[in-house]
Amino acid sequence: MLLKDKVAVITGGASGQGLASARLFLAEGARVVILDWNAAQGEAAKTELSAAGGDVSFVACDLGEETQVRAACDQILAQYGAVDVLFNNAGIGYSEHGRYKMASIFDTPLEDWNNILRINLTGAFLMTKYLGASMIGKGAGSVIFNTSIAGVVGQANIDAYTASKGGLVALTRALAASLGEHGIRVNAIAPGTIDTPMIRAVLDAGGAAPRLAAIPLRRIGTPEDIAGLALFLASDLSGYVTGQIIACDGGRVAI
Amino acid sequence: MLFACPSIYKKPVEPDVLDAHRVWLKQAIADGVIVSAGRRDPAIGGLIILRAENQAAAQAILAADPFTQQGVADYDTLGFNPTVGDIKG
Repeated sequence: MLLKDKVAVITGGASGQGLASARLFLAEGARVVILDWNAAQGEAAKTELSAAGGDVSFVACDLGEETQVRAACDQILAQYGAVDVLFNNAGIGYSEHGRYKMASIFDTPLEDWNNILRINLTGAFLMTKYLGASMIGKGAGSVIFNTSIAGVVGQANIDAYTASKGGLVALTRALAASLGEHGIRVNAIAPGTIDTPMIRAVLDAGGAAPRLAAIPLRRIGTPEDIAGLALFLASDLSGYVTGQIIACDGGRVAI
Repeated sequence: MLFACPSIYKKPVEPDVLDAHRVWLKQAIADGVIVSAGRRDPAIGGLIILRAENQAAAQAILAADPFTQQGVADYDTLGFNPTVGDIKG
């Protein structure tokens, strides 16, 4: 087992890529804590994962609120002592159908901009600050950010999302530089189009075909694709890998 | 003068080493050498404020800390002469 007895925290773990990662991490022997703002989904995920025999906890938390993040991290550290793996997976984004509409910068309200950066970037910063501290004492740890190919290449009309993901790319490299001496590895996954609840409506509304044409592997990615890469980065298999932004996109940004 | 001495943990703190560290702290406080001490927040290490004649003396004091001796932490020694506030040099 690649993560036997490791304590892994996954934000946004109640659905999509986070939930798939929780399943895989548990199957590989980890003790998993999932965080999510959606308490009902989080409890349901915990029930499902526990039924499969997993050692799993759920903590409800709004990642953009420092007091909530601090309380959640204190609760985790009180229960587990320290954390081995932190997968900063949670994110919100734009879609034609979601809460935050795709729009040019001229039509983007400041409230939307702030909310997206608050969850996607500030939330990851806060989690790493409070749980990363426990990795210092262990002299080891793996921090994984879930960014996006939008953080690597420009995409029109999703400016705040792109900025937040680009921020994670920069943060990944910066933290790899500053935490490496403590044995803490920091890497990022840059998913392409992944079939998750966040973009299912877009794909159902005809958004799949144009995306497939731009993907060499000619399929939409799955949450399990992301979970596999997250497992690699979480485990000792990637023991000499840090500061890397690894696309998981079917080859989309390679061409 | 006073020295603010932050540390960063280098390895897990074993219970017996922590106990020895606390005994050392208690004695140093009783001796009037250490003014204040505690964990940093978030807890990546600790911070000790101590009295010493100079930096070499401060380093000598910290060298006796079980944390130092067991390789749990290294301290920086940032000297200052207090001019305002409750803590006197």
